[in-house]
Formats: sequence, structure tokens, C-alpha cells
Amino acid sequence: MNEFLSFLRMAFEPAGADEAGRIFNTYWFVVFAAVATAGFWLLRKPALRLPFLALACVAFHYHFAGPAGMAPIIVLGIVTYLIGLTRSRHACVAGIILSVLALCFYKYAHFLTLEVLGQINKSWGPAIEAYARLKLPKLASPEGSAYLFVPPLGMSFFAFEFVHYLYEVRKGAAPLRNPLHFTLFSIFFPSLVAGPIKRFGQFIPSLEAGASQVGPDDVAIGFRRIAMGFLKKVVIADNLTSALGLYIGTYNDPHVAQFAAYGMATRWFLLILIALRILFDFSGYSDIAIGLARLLGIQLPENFNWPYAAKSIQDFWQRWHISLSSWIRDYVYIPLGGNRHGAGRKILNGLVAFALCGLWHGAAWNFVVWGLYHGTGLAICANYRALPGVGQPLGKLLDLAPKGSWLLTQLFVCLGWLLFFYPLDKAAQLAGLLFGITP
Amino acid sequence: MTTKEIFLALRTSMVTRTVLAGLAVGFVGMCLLGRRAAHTVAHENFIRFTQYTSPESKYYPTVSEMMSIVRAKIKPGQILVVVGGNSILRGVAQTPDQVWSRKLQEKLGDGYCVVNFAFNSSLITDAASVAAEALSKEFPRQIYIANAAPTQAPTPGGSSVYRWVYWDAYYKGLLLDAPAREKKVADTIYTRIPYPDGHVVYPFRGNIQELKLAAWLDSWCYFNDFWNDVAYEDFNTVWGNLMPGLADFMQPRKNWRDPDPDGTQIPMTVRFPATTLEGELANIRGNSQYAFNKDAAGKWEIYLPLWDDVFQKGIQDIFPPALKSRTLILLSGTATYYTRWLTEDERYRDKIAYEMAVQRWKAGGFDAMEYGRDFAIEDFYDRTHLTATGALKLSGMVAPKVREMAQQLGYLPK
Repeated sequence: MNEFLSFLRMAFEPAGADEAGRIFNTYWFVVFAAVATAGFWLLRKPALRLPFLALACVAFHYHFAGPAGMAPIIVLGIVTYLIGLTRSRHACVAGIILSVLALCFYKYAHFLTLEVLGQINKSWGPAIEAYARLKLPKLASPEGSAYLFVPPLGMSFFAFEFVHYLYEVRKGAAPLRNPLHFTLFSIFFPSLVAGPIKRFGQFIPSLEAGASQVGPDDVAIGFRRIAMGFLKKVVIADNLTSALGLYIGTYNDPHVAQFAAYGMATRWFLLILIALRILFDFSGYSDIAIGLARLLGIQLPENFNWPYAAKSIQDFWQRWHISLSSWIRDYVYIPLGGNRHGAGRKILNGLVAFALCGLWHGAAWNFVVWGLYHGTGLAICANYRALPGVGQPLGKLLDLAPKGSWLLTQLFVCLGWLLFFYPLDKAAQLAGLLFGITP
Repeated sequence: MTTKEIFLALRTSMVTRTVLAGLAVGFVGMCLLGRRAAHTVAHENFIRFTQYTSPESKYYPTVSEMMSIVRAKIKPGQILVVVGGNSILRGVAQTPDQVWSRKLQEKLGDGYCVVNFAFNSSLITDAASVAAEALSKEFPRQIYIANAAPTQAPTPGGSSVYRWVYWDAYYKGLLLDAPAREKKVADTIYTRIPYPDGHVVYPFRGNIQELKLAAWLDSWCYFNDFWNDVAYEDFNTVWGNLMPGLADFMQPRKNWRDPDPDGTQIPMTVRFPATTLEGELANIRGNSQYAFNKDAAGKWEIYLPLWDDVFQKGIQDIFPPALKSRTLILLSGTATYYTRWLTEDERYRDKIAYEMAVQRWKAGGFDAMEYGRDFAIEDFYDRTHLTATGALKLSGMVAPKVREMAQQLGYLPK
């Protein structure tokens, strides 16, 4: 009995910081998922299943985010829900701005003050940060952290899903009236931490279908996806992370001299390992999320579709982090004008969209440059055939040799991962070494 | 619905049910294999846990595994001697042939079975003590040896790195009934540190919760034993920085040789670099400087809050009462290369700190002795670790003490 009470107490205590960083790999999560899934299956009536699932999601969110991490999401969620009910276009715009500001406040305040304002005047950033820490001590991150304020768990995903919701309501979609539906759309536990980024128009019908019936197919597919996800994440990606840490060094501090000491084949081999690591890490996490949802009979959007089989940059972005790239397309690129105002504007819109896509991954310049790198690649890929003289023959050549297109695309993508993982100067040095240029 | 559609639906349904049944059977099968592995992973010709069979390389031996090692090694009628403690007693800088516990076995002879379960940086209360306790009913004639620094009181339930063994044994029902220790462990879990701004930090709670949950699940499923068996006997699955190269990391761990070098072959300038002298002296001074104050006459006076409130209370209830008297604490001395740099006064304070520690451990119901003060410079590999010659001297000091304890505990005929 004492043991049972001890575990019960444990279930309602916030997780330690180390746990929150590896949610699906924690024993707490394994037990939680088993209890939540079994409970969902045993409750046959949809009227009982949805409240039960909502309670489970609240327990999950509370455990990993803690009260301080939940509070901003609750406030943002309630505001978004109420604004949606009004269907007012102006209110929806205000709600979208609020979500974006909340995201900037939590995730980009440090970057904006030190890196952006710092470009204008070096003393402004530290002064603003010191003032903010003084005025908002409970929200402030410890000194030396990458963030000025502690970002709530899954903040980027919440912000993007709320923006999507309000944007669609503003465009005329029917808002979610049932608070239970909105709660589950907001904090559905399988996708809360690392997506995929949901669309409520697809999610709610799938949620209702799952609440009505979970078939053996769902369970079998769910387990298969979860097993595949854990295999990718724990066996492949985590081992690669440790190995790369030894052979190249950490993200912030790659050992360029050590990399230079390797032969050319080893350097390229390590680049391939970097590319495989990010794929297996992220797609493994997505597989687990999709599989967990499927155990409840709920289908989440796919996030990866063999991205390293892509034969062009456009093709790559239709296969890599699909829920994010389609979000960026629908809520940044198209609203900016998309391809409706000529080639120059199209390229500019693409660059802005990709810069934001890069920034979404992390608040640092290397992410912005990685986004711009892909934006530029996409612009070249989409327009190179129009180049006088060389464009058409090159296009025909690549059409005739699809393996060449694939190779060029993957070369571009893999080199891009250096920008994604390492500070700009180090990434440039590592890239140079791949082509025999010693720093 | 056409016949073909009905056939397809049936096939889909059968495939699905087969997958689910396969999952269930596979899961139960792995649990059963884990239970079997818990009694079979015996590490043939076991000498000690190496860096390839310890947490440094992401290998976490279970209490069942340690019990299997003992069962495979011990002969009927032998007195079990379990060696715990840290890297000093693990035998860092001693090759497998030189390890001090092997020499102890040779000196004690056939009437004793010495097993070395020490791990780097582990405490008296860590893995080896748990294994010894778990074996105490099966092998009641046992002596447990571990080492410590003079003023070091161990964390109840083990240090943060090795704590999993305690919970492993706890949930498998292998520990003796010890309510006072359980309370002490629980108090540690809920140690709270209040900060001036009002927030409270529980430094041990999160980690221990996960450990407890893992151990509880493992007591049903035996997944740790299953994967240890796979990694040790068949193929390794987890990469670690201290492993052989990338190409070899999937080799079974039993194939990886014990890598500890012969410390005597390493030049003295590497073992005792001049650049670290001040740091090492500060470490040595730290053993005693907070334990005594100087009185008005300039004489060292015992600092009671440390010895009574921290040390004496700290060692209370770390083991069940019945197991204290079979425990020998070795207070690890420091290299004479360094102690000669201390002032006469500091050397004296160091000496009385060790004497006081021996006295306090004994008052707590344990047996204790210090070693190393009269060792030669070359007996030490560095400030604390011993070379092969030091290992010989240590085993020579401990063997008679073990025999004496065995006599006192009634293990031998009068």
C-alpha cells in the first residue's frame, strides 16, 4: 500500500530537468502511456474516453512541464479558444500576434536582445537582460542559459498550432466549440513535445474516430511504429550522438583539429553519420508520437517520408519535417504573397519563410543561416532552368541522370547539417576540410 | 462484399492479430529470458568489474548478476569476502594479475572466497554492500570490506551513480528488513534546499523517482538482466566513449580485455606531476582541516559538530544492525610523496583524523583500520591509488584482520 501511494505521489510530481529532456525515454512515461492507453481502451463509450484522455494529457503536461510551464500555455490556450468562439477577424489577428509574441518572449528574447540589438549597441542587450531578470525573477532562466526566460515545454509547437487555429478561423473555418476538443487539440500528449504539428481540421475527426472505436489494426500499426521509433531513437541515434561526440565533439565545440586529422574518406563518413543521426533522432521521435496516437485510434500527420531519397530540394522539403514545412508554406510563405507577385518576390518570400523555419529550430544565427541556405537552394533549384545558356542543358542532363540529381541534393542537404549543428565559423572550417581546404 | 474482399478482410484481421499475439509472446518471452539471465550471467573467471562492465561505459550490473558471480565462484564451506568501495579497492593501476583482492585471496587461502565488486567513485553503501546483503541469508558467513576517506560519511541507499543497485535489490525483495535505513533513504530523497527567493529544490527526488520506477518495473520484467546478458555474451548495443573503437563496439563485452595498466610501468613524473602538487595537497588537507580546531594553547581540538552531527549520524543506520559487525572499513591513506610536503602540524592533524575516524567507525558498530601511512612512495600510483607493490602490502595488512574478524564473528572453530 505504501509503495502504491509512493507511486501515486510520484505521478503527480513534476519531473526533474533531466527527465523533461528525454520524455519518451523515461520510465514514468512508459508507465503513464500503458495506463492511459489501457484506460482509453477499457472505457468503451466516447463520452467517457475523451474526458479520460484529456485528464491523462493534463497529468502528462503537469508532470513534465510543472505548474510554471503549464500556466502560460493555459492562459494562451484559453485566450485562443475564446477568440476562436468570437470568430472576429480582428480578434483572431490579435490572438495570432499574442501567440507569436509569447513565442518570441520565451524562446527568442535572449537572441533578440544580445544578438540582434547587440549588433546595434553592445551594451543594450546585457542592460535589457539585467533589467528583465530584476523585474521578472521567477520567469528568468539561470545565468548562462540559452534563453532569457524559461520556455514552457513544447512552446514552439503550441504557438504554431494556435496560430494555425486562429488563422483558419479567421479565414472562415468553424471554431472548436467543445472545450474538450480544444484541450485535446492543444495538449494531446503524444505530439506535445516534438510534434508533428497538428491541423485541427484533420485532428478532431480522427480524435472522434478513435473515441468511437480502436481497431486491432490501429493497435498493431501503433506498436510497430513505436518499436520502429525506439529503434531509430535509442539504438541508432543515441549511439551515433555518443560516437559523434567523441569523434567530432559537441555541438557548440566541434574539434576542428581532430576532424582535420582524419583522412578524407573518414571525414565524409562522419558527415554521413551526422545526417543519419538527425534523421533517426527526429523521425524516431515522430514515429513514437504517431504510434502512440495510433494506439488510441488517432492518426497524426506523417512527418518524414524517406527524405534522403529526395532528388531535389523541393522534393526534400516535401519529405523532411513535413508538418513544419507545410505550416511554413501555409502560414508564412503564402500569406507573404507566395509565388503570386513575380519571380523576385517569390524568391524573397521563400528566403523569409526559410529564415523563419531555421529560427524555429533554435535561437541562434547558425539556424537562420541554415534556413537561408535552404531557401537559396530552393530558389536555385526552382529557377536554374531559366538561366540563359546553361539552364536548359543542365536541366536536361539532370533529367537524364536522376542519380546525379539525388547526389547533388544529398550533398547540399548534408553540408547544410554542418550549419545546423555547429557555430558558423566552425561549420565553414569543417565544410572546407571536406574539400581539402585546411583552415 | 465479394469473396475476394471477405478473404482480404480476414487475412488483414489475421495478420493484425498475429502481430499483436507476436508482440505479447515476444514481450513475455523476453521477460522469461531476463529471469533466466538473472541467474546465469556469471562473468566467467571474474576478477573485478572493468571499465567495460561498469556504468562508465553504460553497463549497469544488476544485483542478481553479482549474486550469480558469487554463486559461480564460491566453493562449499568458504567464507565469503565481498570487496566494495571505490577505484582504490577496484585496483586501478593494477593489472588483473596484480589486483590487491587477488593477492588477498592468495593470502587467505582456500577457506575464503574473495570477490571484488568495487566500482570507481563508489561509496561504502553502494553496489557491493547491496550484493553482500542480498547474499547474507544464503552465505551468512561473510565479511564486507570497503574504503573511505576519514571524514566521509556515505549516502544511505548509495551514491547517485550506483544507487540503482539498492533499488534493484529492494524491489526484488533481496534486502534485509531495515526500517531505520528505509527512513534514512526516504529522508534523503526528500531533502529540500530552500532558496532565499522562496523556491525549493529537491536535488535527489527526480532521479530517484525514475530509478525506483525502473527498478519496480524490472522486478517484474527483468529487462536489465536480459540486456546485460545480451551485451555481455552476444553483442553490445550501447555506445560509450570509453569503449574500443567504433568498429568494435558491437562486440560482446566479454571479449574486451581488462584495460587497467600496470602502474609501476608509468614514470613517476607522470604519476606525480609537479603541476598538480598544490591541488593534491589541498585535497589531503581537506581530509582533516574541518575536523579539528586549534584551542587557545595551539593544540588541535576535535570539532564536534562534524564528528557528532555529520559523521556519527551519517554512518548510523546505513546497514541493518546485523550486518555492521561483519563490515571492515579501510581508511585509505594518501601517498607519502605528498604527505612529506605537509607541515609537521598538518601531518599530525592528518594522523589524528584517521585515528578518530577508526574510533568513530568502531563506535558505530563496524570494524575499521587505516592503511598507507607507512607505505613507500612507489607503493602509490598517484595520491590515493596503489601500485602492485602497494596492493601486496594492503592485502598483507587486510588478510590477518579478515581472519581475526572471522574468528570474532564465530565463522571459525574456536
